[in-house]
Formats: sequence, C-alpha cells, structure tokens
Amino acid sequence: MSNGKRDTRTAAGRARLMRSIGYLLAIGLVSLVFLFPIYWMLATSLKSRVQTFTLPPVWLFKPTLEHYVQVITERQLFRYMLNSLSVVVSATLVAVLLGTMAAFGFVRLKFRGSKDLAFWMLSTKMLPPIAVAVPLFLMFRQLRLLDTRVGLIWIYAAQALPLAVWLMKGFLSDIPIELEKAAMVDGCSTLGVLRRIVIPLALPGMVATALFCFITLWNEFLFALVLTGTEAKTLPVMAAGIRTRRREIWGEVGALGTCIALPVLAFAVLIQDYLVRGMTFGTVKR
Amino acid sequence: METRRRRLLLLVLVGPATLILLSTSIVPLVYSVLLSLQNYNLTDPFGRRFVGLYQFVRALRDPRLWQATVTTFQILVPSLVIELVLGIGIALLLNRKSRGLKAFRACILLPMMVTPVVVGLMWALMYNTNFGILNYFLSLVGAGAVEWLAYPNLAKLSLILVDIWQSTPFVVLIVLAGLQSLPPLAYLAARVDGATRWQTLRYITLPMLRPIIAVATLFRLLSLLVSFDVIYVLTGGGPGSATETLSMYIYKQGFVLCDVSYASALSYIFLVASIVATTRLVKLTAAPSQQYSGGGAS
Repeated sequence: MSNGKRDTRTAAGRARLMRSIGYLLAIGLVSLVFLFPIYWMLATSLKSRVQTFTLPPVWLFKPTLEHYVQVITERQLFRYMLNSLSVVVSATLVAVLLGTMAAFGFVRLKFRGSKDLAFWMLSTKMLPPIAVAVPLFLMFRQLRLLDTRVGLIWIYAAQALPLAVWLMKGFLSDIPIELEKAAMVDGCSTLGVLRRIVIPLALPGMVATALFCFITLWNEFLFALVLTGTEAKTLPVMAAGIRTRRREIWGEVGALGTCIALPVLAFAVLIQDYLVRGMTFGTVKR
Repeated sequence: METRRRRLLLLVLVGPATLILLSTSIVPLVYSVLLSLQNYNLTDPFGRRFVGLYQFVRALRDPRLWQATVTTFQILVPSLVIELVLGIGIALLLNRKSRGLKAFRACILLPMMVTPVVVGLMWALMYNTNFGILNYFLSLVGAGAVEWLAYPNLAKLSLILVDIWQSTPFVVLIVLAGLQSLPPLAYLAARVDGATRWQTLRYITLPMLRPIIAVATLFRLLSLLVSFDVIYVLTGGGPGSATETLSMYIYKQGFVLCDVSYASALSYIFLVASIVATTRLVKLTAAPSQQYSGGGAS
C-alpha cells in the first residue's frame, strides 16, 4: 500500500493504486453481503417494538434492551442456557479427554488395525443423524434417559469424539517424538510421558479442539429435539419453538438469536487460524 | 510381558472412545434392523408383530419417499453447484497476501458458525412478505412483494439461498487455504513460458486445487444430504410437502406419526443410498490427487 502511495505520479503506480482500491472494494462488498443478515438480527433485537417492522426501515435508532429483558424474564433464557451449557461443556470435556487418549494411541503406539479403527471412528460422523435418532429414542426410553442431561451428554460426547480424535491426531503428530524418547530414556513410563510431555505440549491444540467441539455441540439441534422434552431442553430447541409469523415478537426473536449465536461467533473468531483444519476433521492442514 | 502391558495400555487409551462410539452407532443400527422387521407403532404398542420385509416393500411403493428423494436433490444440486462456483470465484478474486484478507477471513467465517436454528429464525424475519427487509429491497427496484415461503418452487429457492449464504464461506476458506499453499515455483515456470492469466488458471491453479475442491465438495455434499435444522424452522417441510427432504420425511414418520418401524426401514434405505453415493464420489474425485499430471489436458 505504501508503495502505491509513493509513486502515484507514474502511470504504473496509479494503476497499482487503483487495483488496490478495487481489491479492497471487492472485499468490502463480499463481506457486506455475508454480514448483513447477522447485522439485521442484531439491529432488530435493539430496536423498539414499533421500529422492528417499520418500513422503510429505521437505520439510525436509539438502542433499547427491552427485548433482552423480555427474553430473560418471559422466556426463561437462563434456564435453557444452563441446560445447554452444562450438557455441552460436560460432553466437550469427555470428548477432548477420551479423544486425546485415543489419538495418542493411534499416533504413538501403532497397532494392527489402528488405521482402520481411526477411519471407522471418522465414518460414524458420516451417519445421517436421523438414521440413528429413532433407535436411540427407543433405547433412551427403555433406559429412562429421555429428557435427562446425562443422556444428552452421552450422545453429544459421541457426536464430538470423531472430531476430537482426528484433530488431536493431527496436533499430536506435530510434536517431535525425540522429546518423548528422551523422557523414556530417563525412566518415564508411557502414561508419564503422556502426562508430563505430551499434554503440556499439545495444550494449545487441545484448547482449539475443545472450542471446536463446543461450537459443534452448542449448535446441535436434531438430537436435542428428539431426546429432550421439558427438563433438559436446550436453547436451539427452545428457539425453534418460537412463532416468527407474529411480527409483534420480532424483537424477542432477534434478542434470542443474538444470545444463542454470539458466544459461538466469539469463539469462532478466536480459533480462526485452525478453522479450516477443524471443519475438515484435519484433512486440510495449514 | 511387554506385549501384555502394551495391550493393556492400548485398551485404556483407545477403549473408552471406541465403546462410546459403538454405543451410538453400531448398537442403534442393529436395533434399527430389528425395528424395521416389525410393525411397531408407538400409538399401538400391543399390535407389535414380526412382519418380515413388509416395511421395505411398503417403502418402494411409497410415492412420498420418491417425492422426498427428488426434493432433496432439487435443493442439494443447485446449492452445491452455486456454492462451489461462487466459493472458488471469490477465493480466486481475493487471493493475495494482504492485511485486508485476514480481516475478510474473520468476517466471512461468521455465517457458517451461526447456530442453524438461529439462521432459520433470522431468515424468517427477512423473508416476511409484508415487513421483511428483502421485499423492501425489491420494492426499491420496483418489484412487487414476494411471498417467499408460500409457493413450492419459491420455497425451495428460498432454502437454497439460505444455504448459499451460510455455506459458501466454507468453500471460500478451504479454497483460500489451498491457494495459499500452492508452490510458487509452478507459477514462475508458467510466467517464464509466457502463459497468459487464463492459461495459468486453467492449467496450473485449477488442476492443483483439484484435491482440495474434492474435499470441499464431499463435506458440502454430506451436510446437504442430511440438512434438517433450517428447513424445520423455516418451512417445516411445507408448503404442503414441497420442501420435505428425506431427513424431514423420516423425522415425520418416526416422531410425528410414531411409526418407528417404517421410519427405521426408511433410515436404512437412506443410509445405504448415501453411503453408495458418497463412496462413488470419493473414488471419482479424489483418485488422481497426488500426481502433477498433464494439467487436465483432456
């Protein structure tokens, strides 16, 4: 950019400057299109009731938090948020712990069929969720797990495990094996190596993996819809029950949507460098 | 002694993950076979009998199943094609090492992270016929109000639009990652040989991107095949059954009509069909990934 500024007097310099401006405009335009719906939801949540359906739309307005208050008091936001949080956080912890252990087994203790087993784990993610929803529902009914947090944690841990195993496989194989060998020479056991060398070194990877699992599970809808009723209902299921046809509650819909989506968006920006890796289960590294 | 300890260690490390995944994949699938061979309806628990392959025969004669299959592909194919073309296009357009690109990446990744249920709600507000912002934009260019979700074909188009909005960024990010890891040497060689921009794109960039485009296609295909959340919120499969995809139809049979046996049979047909389709696609697209062949000189 500074180059372009320095020699704007020459024709080539001017062309370069124009290209840079064109490039920034293109970036801005594409971003605008993709960000607009999110902005619109946020704006709707902060408008007063009348402003939410005024046309032409009010672009400048004094923000009000009345819809957020409504969502908290009338729709019991915190109750469902607590359900979502407790289930998702527990399942994430289980998945990252068990996933790291399994990944360590796959990476460092290669055994017969280890590749097949790892691929089988990944392939469970290819199962259409609806295909196992019916039998799981009946199993849950028999085991009296319907509408309990424990039941949902079990399913969610399984949902996040393939992701955790494959991401951790990638992160663990990035660690130079010499460190572990040196520790073993010094008399450390395999579990000791895992605890003293591997986990401290893999910690950033584990945090990224955990955030990924959290986002995936927080956004999950189908299993929560089918396996919970009133007690363990999660936020997305509660939100899906809102009637958007009635325009009087648009502000509430916006506020609720913002409350659900915002934590996830914040996490997503935090892990953006790992994003491609995570979304493709580690098949695309960068 | 050594191997016994090793085995024990492996069991401790890999065992728990394997057990949990078994309990939520193989076990329900086996149970589902048993269910599909009965006529179990939750509203009539005492009429439960073994009926052999009746449910599968029933499925083959079910016009709604065929309808749902067609609907699934009517939504899947346009979404997939447009997302790939648009995604690759945007990535090629913006591929440059600059600070603007990093900020852009942070912006564009947001749509695909928004909770799908919230995506549905957000677009429901925008699609509203009388007070939605989309019809307002249309009125600015002189078009009349559109009832986005009221007509069969228009409702499908609306769902396609939402998916394009939400998932094109996924393709953009993957292709950008691929572009930035291409070897600069190939481009230098092309320039030395006097290749035009178009030739460079056609014979160098796109062939080398092939494996990464295959990955993007596969992931989009898998998630479009089972997409459910946005449809549930936005149209509920309607109007009529115009946007009733396979996932939606199985959901309705199993959890609205409580015909769990029939839903299990349908699930199996869906499962086998999607496995066949995706494995064929993997073989088709990913085979020549590791070679720098003649640059797709077909």
